[in-house]
Amino acid sequence: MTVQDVLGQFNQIFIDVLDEEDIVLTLDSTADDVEDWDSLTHIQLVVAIEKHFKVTFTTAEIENYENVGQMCNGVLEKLTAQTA
Amino acid sequence: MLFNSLEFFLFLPIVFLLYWFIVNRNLKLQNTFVLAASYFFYGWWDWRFLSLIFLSTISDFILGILIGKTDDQKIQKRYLYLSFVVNLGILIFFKYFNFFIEEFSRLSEAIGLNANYSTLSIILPIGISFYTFQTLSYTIDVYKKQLAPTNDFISFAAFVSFFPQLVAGPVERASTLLPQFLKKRQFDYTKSVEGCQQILWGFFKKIVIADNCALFVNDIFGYYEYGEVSGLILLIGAVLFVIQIYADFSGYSDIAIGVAKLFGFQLMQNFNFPYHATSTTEIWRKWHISISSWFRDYLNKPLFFYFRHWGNYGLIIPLILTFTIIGFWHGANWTFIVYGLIHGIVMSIELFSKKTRKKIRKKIPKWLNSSMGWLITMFIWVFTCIIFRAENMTLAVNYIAAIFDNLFVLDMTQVTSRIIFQSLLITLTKGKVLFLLILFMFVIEWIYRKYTYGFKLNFKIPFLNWVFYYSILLLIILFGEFSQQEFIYFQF
Amino acid sequence: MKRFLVRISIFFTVGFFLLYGIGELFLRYPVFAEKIGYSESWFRVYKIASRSKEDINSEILYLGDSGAGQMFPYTEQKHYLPINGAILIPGQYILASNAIKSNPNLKSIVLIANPLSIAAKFEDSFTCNNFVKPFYTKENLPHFSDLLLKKVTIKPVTKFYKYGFVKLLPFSDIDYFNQQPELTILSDISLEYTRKLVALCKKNNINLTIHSGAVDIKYKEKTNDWTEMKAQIKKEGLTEVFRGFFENMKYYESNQFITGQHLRKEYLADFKAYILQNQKQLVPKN
Repeated sequence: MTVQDVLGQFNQIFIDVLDEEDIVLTLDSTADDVEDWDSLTHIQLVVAIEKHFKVTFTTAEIENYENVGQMCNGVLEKLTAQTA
Repeated sequence: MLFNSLEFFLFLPIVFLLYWFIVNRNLKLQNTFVLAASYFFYGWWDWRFLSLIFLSTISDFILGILIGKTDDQKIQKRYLYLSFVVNLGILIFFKYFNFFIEEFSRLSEAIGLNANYSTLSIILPIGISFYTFQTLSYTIDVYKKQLAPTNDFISFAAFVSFFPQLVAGPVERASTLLPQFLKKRQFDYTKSVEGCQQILWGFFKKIVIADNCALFVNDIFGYYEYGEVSGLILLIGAVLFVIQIYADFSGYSDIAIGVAKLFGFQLMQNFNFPYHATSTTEIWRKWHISISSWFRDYLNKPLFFYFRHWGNYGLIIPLILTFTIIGFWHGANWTFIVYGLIHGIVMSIELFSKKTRKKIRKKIPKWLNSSMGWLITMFIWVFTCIIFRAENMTLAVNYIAAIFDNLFVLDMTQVTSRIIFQSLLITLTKGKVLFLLILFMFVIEWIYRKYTYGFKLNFKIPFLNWVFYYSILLLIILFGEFSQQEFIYFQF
Repeated sequence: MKRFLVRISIFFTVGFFLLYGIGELFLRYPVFAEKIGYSESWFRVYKIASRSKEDINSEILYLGDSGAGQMFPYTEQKHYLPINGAILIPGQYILASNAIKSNPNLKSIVLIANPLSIAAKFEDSFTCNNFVKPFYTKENLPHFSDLLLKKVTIKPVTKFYKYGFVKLLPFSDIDYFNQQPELTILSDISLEYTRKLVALCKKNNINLTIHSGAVDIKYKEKTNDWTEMKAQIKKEGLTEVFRGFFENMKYYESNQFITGQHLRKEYLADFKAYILQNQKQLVPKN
């Protein structure tokens, strides 16, 4: 799986959670770029991502992600660690 | 020292001139001067309060260094908890001790125990809820590695006690304010002019709008206890209180931020035109931002994370818990708890009705949707503010009930027979003027809503700016209410 | 930095002159200030007082305290000028003096006031906004005796009260209050200005009557039926002007007042008729 694959799946999760069909995520997207992305939806997104990829984050990890790209990489690292 | 006092009017220019002309050669000296001026400013109320702020300062200074010295997460956490114990300990003892004692003895009596706990006569030091949270943010940020601990005690102490925002915020994060103390400030003409605009506007909101509203609000809320008043008047009283509390607190914040700008500091925006909001969730993103975001980052987020596998409850529980605590932060009274609780519940409802509301939004015109949202939001806000203002829950419930009981009964003879309302009748002219002034405030703030404060004049012709400055100055002098009312948020 | 300091200095200097101008404007044209909705308490008194300089078109003028104002409201008639008790006897004197000057036809002045208002001392929290700010003007200065002037200017800043803009300034309220209880005998300035009022009326051939306002019955006992005040009036040789004052004093129960010296509405008409009746007897027909 590549970062772009993860991003594609992220995009679908965002559309489902935020109920907004025209979201197009890039690796540089931040909370400011997405309407309705606040601390509440943030956690909903995290839960949905955890569920989808079957991974868990720590508080520190969540807080240190600055954009979508870093989060995708985080997921990717966790997945490779699991398979390894 | 109050911002709206003669003392401050003398204090500010003296400190300003000394700051830029005498102590500006050396950063250390300048920070020492800021610290001294801040302690003087705060000690003006009661010099004994200084010991508390000093205690809070020195403990977090040391704990910050200790956290930085070790890599052991467990030990770091222990220091963090110690900081919580010190700061919240001070806060709880001075603010909530008697409340807990009273409630505890009431509870013991209810279950049949003969309780006789005595309460202590504790004075509530001004601003305690503000600076303890600011100090805490330092230790938390250091713990979270978002900020390196500082070894410069003077700068740290100046950061904790910085006089513009010491007593009622904005509650700054250490990671944004402390670095500003560690590097040299440059005088910036544009920023200083902006600062002056903001100070002028803040005084207008505080002295003209808030304190004039207070005359009516105090009369109506105070009078209410004596007997029956027409529901319409009670409703007007509640609406005026909502305007008062906004003008008072956002006015204070404007002055604080403006004064800080004169000294080369940038503080965070504390109000983002909350009364333009079309949902309660949005209001809380725009109202008292420095404290609501503090609780969002340091309490709500961790709670969300902790409860994240609880499904819908994992969203509701943290929300309601956070807002109840925000309510309680305002003071040791059930009214504040209920105020916060209701907002937590409303926001949960808003969260789960998001999809339905979206469907409605697509079907009706945009203006209808936002005006409906605004009306509902303001309706909830006005009624929860009654609870916020009332001295206890019984009075709050009675007040709300009385509004609906006789909403359209306006018996003036009943009103005039009471002396308390005589002052109100005399000020009927004042009432008309006040109405126009309130309108003026909201129109100006609507025009400048895209900026960080509501009076960012930028006419091409400088003369027009000056016309506005003098108009505001004259409005303050001619229509201001100068009984030197304290700012509402000083008591929290 | 220099630019900033220069601008801020210009701002405050121009602001000062602007304020000075507005202060003078308000004093000279109170109607203008009223139009724009200015309604500070000192100015309300000033505005009513300035009507004493107008032609009242009457042979009789009513002055008094706020209790009198309930029956003779200044909003109703041009020759009704009761303001309140806190303008003190010096304030009443200035009103009378103005009215006499602008009304050659004036024959009588009736001062209706509660004995406590007549006794009122200068040292009170209401004095600044009700007497000093509205009455201490350059124009009224000749009416100020040495004693009164000394009291007014007791603090350095209060000397400047005669300028309009200082009256407007927000921080300019000075508390003349002292902790002593209300007087039940005439204060020093009451005494001095009652004398001046008597002399003024005599000189202009005007009948001066002082009628008591409604009095709470509790004061009858408290003052032992005003023994001290009666003795003082006799000693000071003011019996002539206070003729009928104590005899016509009408007492009411405490619950017949809204507060202090203000009668409940239902008793006002009767009391007004009573005053007019007494006053007719007191004023000799000529």
